[in-house]
Amino acid sequence: MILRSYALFWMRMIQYAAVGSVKFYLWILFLLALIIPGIAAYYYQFTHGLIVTNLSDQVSWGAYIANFTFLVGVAAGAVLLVVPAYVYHHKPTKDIVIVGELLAVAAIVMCLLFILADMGRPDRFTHVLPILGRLNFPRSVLAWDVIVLNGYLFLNLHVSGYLLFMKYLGRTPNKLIYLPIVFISIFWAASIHTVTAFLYSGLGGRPFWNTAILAPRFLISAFAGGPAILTIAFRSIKSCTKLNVEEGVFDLLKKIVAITMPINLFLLGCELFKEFYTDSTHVASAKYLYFGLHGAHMLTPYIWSAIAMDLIAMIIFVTPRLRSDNRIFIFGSVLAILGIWTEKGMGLIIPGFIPSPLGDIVEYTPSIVEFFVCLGIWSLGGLIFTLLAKVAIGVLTGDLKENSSISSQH
Amino acid sequence: MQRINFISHLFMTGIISSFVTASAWANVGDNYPCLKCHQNFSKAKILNLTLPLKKEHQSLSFKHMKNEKSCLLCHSDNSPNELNMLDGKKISMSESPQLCGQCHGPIYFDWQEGIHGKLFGKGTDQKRKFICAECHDPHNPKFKKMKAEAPPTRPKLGIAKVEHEEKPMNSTTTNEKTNEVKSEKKDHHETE
Amino acid sequence: MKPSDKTKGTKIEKMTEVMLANPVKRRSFLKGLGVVAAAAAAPLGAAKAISDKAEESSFWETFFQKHYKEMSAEDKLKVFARIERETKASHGVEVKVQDPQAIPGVKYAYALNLSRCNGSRRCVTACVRENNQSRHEPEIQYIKVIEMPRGTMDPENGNLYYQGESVPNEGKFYLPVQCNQCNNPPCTKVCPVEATWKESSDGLVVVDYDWCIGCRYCQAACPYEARHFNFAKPNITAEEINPNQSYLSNRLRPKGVMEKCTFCLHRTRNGKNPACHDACPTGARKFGNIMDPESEISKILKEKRVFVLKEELNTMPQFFYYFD
Repeated sequence: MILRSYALFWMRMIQYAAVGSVKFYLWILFLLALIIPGIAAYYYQFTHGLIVTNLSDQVSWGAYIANFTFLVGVAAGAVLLVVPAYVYHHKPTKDIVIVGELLAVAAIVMCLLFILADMGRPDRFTHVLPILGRLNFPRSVLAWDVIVLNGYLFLNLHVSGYLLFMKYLGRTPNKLIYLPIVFISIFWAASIHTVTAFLYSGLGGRPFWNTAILAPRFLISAFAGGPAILTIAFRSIKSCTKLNVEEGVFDLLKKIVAITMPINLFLLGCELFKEFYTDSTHVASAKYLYFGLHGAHMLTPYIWSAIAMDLIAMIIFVTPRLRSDNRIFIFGSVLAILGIWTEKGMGLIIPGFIPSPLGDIVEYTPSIVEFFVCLGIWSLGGLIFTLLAKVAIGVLTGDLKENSSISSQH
Repeated sequence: MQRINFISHLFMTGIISSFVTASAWANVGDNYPCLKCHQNFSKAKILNLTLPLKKEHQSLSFKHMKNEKSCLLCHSDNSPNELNMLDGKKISMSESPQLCGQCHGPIYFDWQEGIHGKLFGKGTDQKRKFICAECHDPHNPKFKKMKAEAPPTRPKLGIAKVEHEEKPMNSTTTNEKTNEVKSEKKDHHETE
Repeated sequence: MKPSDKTKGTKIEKMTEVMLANPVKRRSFLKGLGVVAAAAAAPLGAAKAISDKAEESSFWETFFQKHYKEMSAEDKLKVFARIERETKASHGVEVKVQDPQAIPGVKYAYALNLSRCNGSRRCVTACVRENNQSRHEPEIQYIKVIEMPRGTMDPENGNLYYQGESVPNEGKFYLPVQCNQCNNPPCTKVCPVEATWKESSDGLVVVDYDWCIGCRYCQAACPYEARHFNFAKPNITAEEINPNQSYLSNRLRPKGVMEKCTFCLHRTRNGKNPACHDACPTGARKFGNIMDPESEISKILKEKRVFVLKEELNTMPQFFYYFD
């Protein structure tokens, strides 16, 4: 019986997701217009090899992994809604937390797509699976990452799926089925970003990354950028959908980011002190990033812009007069997202490879193919989130109920 | 089959081309045929050495111990097939490493251990040891400079390093574009 | 009739009615399905595209191929035959892919006399010829010779791209760097699928090219730039192919996998020296079995003051440098 309802639930979800207003269709069309060139670009890369990117033996990772790193942070940021909702029973958050979890789902899917796009042999992805493959667990941190990312995906899908299905059926969810998973997902969220940081910080041959402070920096920037993204997402949802997003949610996010953004900049300052005061040969990568090295200086304008954006965002987030104005706060959020994306994505991955371990300097900027693949994956993530959120909002508002809009048989 | 020949040819060419007078020393233990010409050997003839040498000796160039003018330091005045040790002992041509070892002690010691220079042979442990004169021209031992193989292709976003600011310690920095060497030593020597 | 049956029939009926009644809804639903179908078909189409005619039949063979360490003797023979077949089809060359086993009681180490290296790069070219590396796009060279100024051992001060009309250049010394076959390799630690490992017998760090997923984590981890990636299908002509190959060293590699120096495994496990060792015109390179106290490498390690690069990283390289 329950299986039948569940199958019908899926059918109705798909149907519900595919129907909407004109604005909705325009938005979907816009996303598709970005996805399709992305698919074409990826096909080109798949057939010709990664030589169509600007990656090299010296710069092994570029735009794909930079975006991956940032998105793991976005996924981890969902925990900022999960904790108030489930642990502290903060009502405004409790009402909309599922949408936050679905944002994490979309972010994780994007992460996995970026990894697939970056692999030299995506056709061999089975090699990381149990039985078919040979996962180098526990020695390889990447093996840990495979497990924690997929685990987080399933945890979030389970919790949001179960709660939505129960709401759809009009039944009270059984705490035993979802609450333990929620608590696991809270710690798991911190672990996905810690493990991702460990990917970099465990490499002795890359002194730019080989710092203990990297994992804390990752988590704090996730908790500074996360609320910014959540603010923008939920402001859009509030204005475009029927979901009632109370101001309480935004107040909470404002409180969080007022603390985490200053800490983010403080930790950055700590890193800068250690690099430039010590002034050992290991400072070369930091020198490249902030000041240029041996005549190469492609990234310097970006990192300084990122720091400026972070500073302005921080000022907005802590100043009462500025943060209380929602429009200014949104502007600050946009700055924070761009700043953190630059500082944590391209501004972290690329300098790790410059100079190379043997003193070679090879720079990097995304190629056209990489640009379109990245744009395609971001848009696909946007599409996934849009559809998931649409369905979730339908269920949460009662629009999508088991017995709704069919008949008055009962 | 062709490939194996090609590789072995390359192998041998690479070795032989760096030895100027290799052909003269190809056979270990065989005496240089001095007696072919010097049948009426005269000590006086050697003592009254004048340059330029007779045409049979034109191929010899001298660049070893530049302040030493006497051939008799190494060559025996008794017979052209013999060599002189510093204590007067006479040795044959095939024992010449002892002679070189008088001045080049550490290298002679390494050579005896089998860890000096190039050792050829099929296996890692089956190598034939060459005597000094088989690789080094005793009259002009220093290896000639050679043309290096082409550098690797710089990646499309690679940067040629330019000189940067002072480095601590007695280090030098290299300007990749001009190959210029700049030294930070107190007695500054600019190589413009 | 049970109430549930009535409900069931009516529900589906009603739904179908609703769907048919609203053409917009159906269109958008089908459109959505269409996008999903296209997105699913693309990778399948691409999978077809990457398989050349010659490789089509072997695509599924490779898909189910086991890790080298899990292959039986029969599996290996089939795999080697496949590789030979593929090479014949793509380049028209008959090659022999073997699987030489480690010689018992042997552990390899390399020593390099920095007083003798004159930067001729003969080692680089001999290696490329021996190991069937891609010649261009990408250009892969296992050995990098760094022209260093005096007074420093920091490669950042060096120059990999020096021109050498007549080497050695004045005031320089030369530092060739290749895979050190570390005893504590960071590259094997980080590989997520164990496609690269250190042979416990003779210490060579090898790659199973048919298992590697091309994530390049090992390349990020290596402090010596010893790992190289095939960004495209390797470009090598039939004349350039060295037909004496082995599975773990110089067989032709596919696109999208890592490769590295293996101390010419196919030569050394057959009692020969690596190609770079034999090509060196000044005799700067010394190679051998450190388990044998009479080998030249053991004597060098005993008598010379050797050092390794980046010792503080504790990678324990088996490639030692010394000045004479």
